[in-house]
Amino acid sequence: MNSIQVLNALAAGSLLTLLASGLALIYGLRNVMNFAHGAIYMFAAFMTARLVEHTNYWVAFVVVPLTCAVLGLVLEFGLLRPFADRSVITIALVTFGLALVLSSATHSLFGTQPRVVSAPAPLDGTLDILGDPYPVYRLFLITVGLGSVALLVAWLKFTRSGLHVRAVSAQPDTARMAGVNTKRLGVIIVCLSTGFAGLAGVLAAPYLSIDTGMGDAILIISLVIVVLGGIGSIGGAIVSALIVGGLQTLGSVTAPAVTTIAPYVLLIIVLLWRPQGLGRGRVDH
Amino acid sequence: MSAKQITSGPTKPSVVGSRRESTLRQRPAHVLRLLAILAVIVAGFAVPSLVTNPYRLTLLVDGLTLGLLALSLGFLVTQLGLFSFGAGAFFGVTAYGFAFASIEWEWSTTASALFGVGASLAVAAMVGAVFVRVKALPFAMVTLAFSVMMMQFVHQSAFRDKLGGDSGLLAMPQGGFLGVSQEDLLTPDGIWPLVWSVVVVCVAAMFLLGRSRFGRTLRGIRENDERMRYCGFNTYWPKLAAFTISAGLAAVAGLMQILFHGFATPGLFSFGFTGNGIVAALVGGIGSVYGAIIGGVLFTQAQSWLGTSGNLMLYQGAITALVVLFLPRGLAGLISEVSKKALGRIKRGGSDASN
Repeated sequence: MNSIQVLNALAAGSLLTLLASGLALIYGLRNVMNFAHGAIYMFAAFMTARLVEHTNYWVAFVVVPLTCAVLGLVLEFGLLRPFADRSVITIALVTFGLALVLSSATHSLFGTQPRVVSAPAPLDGTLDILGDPYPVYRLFLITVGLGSVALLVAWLKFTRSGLHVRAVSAQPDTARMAGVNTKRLGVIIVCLSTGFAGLAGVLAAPYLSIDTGMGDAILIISLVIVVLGGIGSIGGAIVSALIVGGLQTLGSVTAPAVTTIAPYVLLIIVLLWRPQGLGRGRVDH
Repeated sequence: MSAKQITSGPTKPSVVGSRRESTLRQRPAHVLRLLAILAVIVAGFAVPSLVTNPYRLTLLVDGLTLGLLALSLGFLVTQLGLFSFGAGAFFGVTAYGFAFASIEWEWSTTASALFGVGASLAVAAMVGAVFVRVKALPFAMVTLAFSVMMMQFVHQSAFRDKLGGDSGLLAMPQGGFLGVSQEDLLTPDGIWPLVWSVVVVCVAAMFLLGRSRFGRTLRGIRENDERMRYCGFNTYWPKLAAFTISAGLAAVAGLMQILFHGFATPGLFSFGFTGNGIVAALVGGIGSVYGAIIGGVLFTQAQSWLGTSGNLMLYQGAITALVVLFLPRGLAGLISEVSKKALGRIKRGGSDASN
C-alpha cells in the first residue's frame, strides 16, 4: 500500500461520499429513499459531456449542479409535497419509476454512446507525489468532493439551521413540535441532495467513463452505504462511504475477486451485529 | 324470505340470525365466484389451442413465469409489508442450480430441478435469517445488495469455467419432468399445461396461506411487530418462514424459465429484472393473488408492443409512478371494485323484485 493507492481510495470515496450524503440527507429530512439519485448522477455526467463539446468544463462545473438542484425543486413540488401522506415505500417506488423516466430522457437528449471527457486545462497534468506521478485532476476531485462534504458537515455541526436538520433527521415529530420549520428545510435539503448528485456527476465525468450503466452501479453501492451508516445518520453515511471507497480501491489491487463482493458482505455483517447500522440513526428505525 | 327478514331485522337484532341471513345472501355471490374461478382454470388449459402463433404463446408462458415472480414479491408485501428488491436472486439461483447440476453432474431433469429449488430455499433460509431482522426500507436495500452480490459472484473469473461468466449457462433438460417429455419442455404448447398447473397451484396456495392462522399472524406482525411480541407471539420465525416461502415461489418461477428456455444468465440477478417483477406486481395489484399473474402477463405483452418503439424504459417508469400514485391496488383492485358494484346491482335488483 502506497500513497498513490491511498489517493485513489480517497478519489473513489469522495464521489461515494457526495452521493451517499445526498441520499442520507433526503432520507433524513423527507423520508424518501431516492432511487432516482443514480439517474440524476448519470444525467449530470452526460450533460457535462455535451457542455464540454460546446463550451468548456468550467461552464459545466457551474451549470450542471444548478440544473440538478432545479430538478430537486421539481421533485419536491411535483411529488414529495403533494404526496406527503403516502408511505415511504410508495414514494420509493415512484422514484424508481422516475429513475427509469429520467434515464430514458437522458438517453434521448444526449444519446446512449459512451463518452470520454478529458480533464480541463489547468488540471490535465500530473504532479509528483513522493516520487510517483499522479494526475492533478484526481487531486482536484478529492479536494472538491471532500471539501463539499466538509462544508456540509460544518453547516450541520455549527449553524442553527444545521442543528435543525440534524434534529429533524433524528426525531422528526419532536423537532416539528419544538417549532422547526420542516417545510422550508425540506426544500433546501432536496435541492442540496440533487445538487450534490449533479456535482458528483460533473466531477466523475473526466474521472470515469460515461455510460448508460454508471447510474445504476453507483446507486446500489450508495444505498448500501446509507444503510451501513444507519438510516437517518448523515455522519454514518459519510464515514461508511469512505470505508467502502477505501475497501474497493485498496482491495482491487490486493484481492480483486473478493473486493467486488466486499461491500455487500460488510453490510450483512454490520446488520447482524447492529441492525440499526453504524451511526447514531433515528430511534424508531 | 329475504324480504321478510329485512323487515323483521331491525326489531330482532339477533347475531346468529343476521349472520345466517348474510351467508344466505352472499351464497349466490360465492357460487358465482367459484364457478368463475373454475371456468378460468379450465379455460387456461385450452389457451394453446386458441393461441396458435408460437411467438404469442411463448410470450404468454414468459408472462406466467414473470407472474410467479410478481406473486412472490406480492406475498411478502401483502403479508409483511416488505418489498424484496432482490427476489430475482432466488429465481437466478434456481436457474443456475438447475443448469449446474444438469451440466456438471449430468443429473436428470427431475433431480436437477429438485437441486435448483432446494439450493434456492437453503440460500433463502440462510440470508433470510439476517435480512428479516431489519425494518422495511433497509430490508429492500439488503435484498437488493444480496442480488447484486450474487451477480458479482457469477461474474467472478475464478468460476468462469463452471458458471459461464457473462454468457451464463446453457442447459438442455435431460429427460422429462412431471409427465412432460423432454421435447415438449422446449415448445410453448408442450410446456403450457405444466406452467399453467404450477400457476394455479401457487395462486391457490398463496390464497389459502393468506387466510390461514399463519397469514393472520404475519399481518399482525406487519401492523405492529412490537405489539405482537407483547402478546406472546414469536415474530422472528414466522417472518423467516414467509421470506423462505416467497423465495420458494421465485425459485419455482426460475425453474419454469430454465425448463422452457434452458439458459441462466447473470442478468437474472440485476435490479432491472426484479424491477420487472415489481412493476408487474404493482400493475396487477398488490394484495391480490391473481393480480400478480395478470400483471406478469400484461407486462410481457406490453414489453413486446412497446419494445419496438425503443422507449420501453420511459413507459415502464411512467406507468410504475402513475399506478403507484393513482391506482394503489392495481388492476385487481379495479376488477374487484367493478365486480362488487355489478354484484351489488344484481342483489339490489333481486330484493327490489321481491318487494
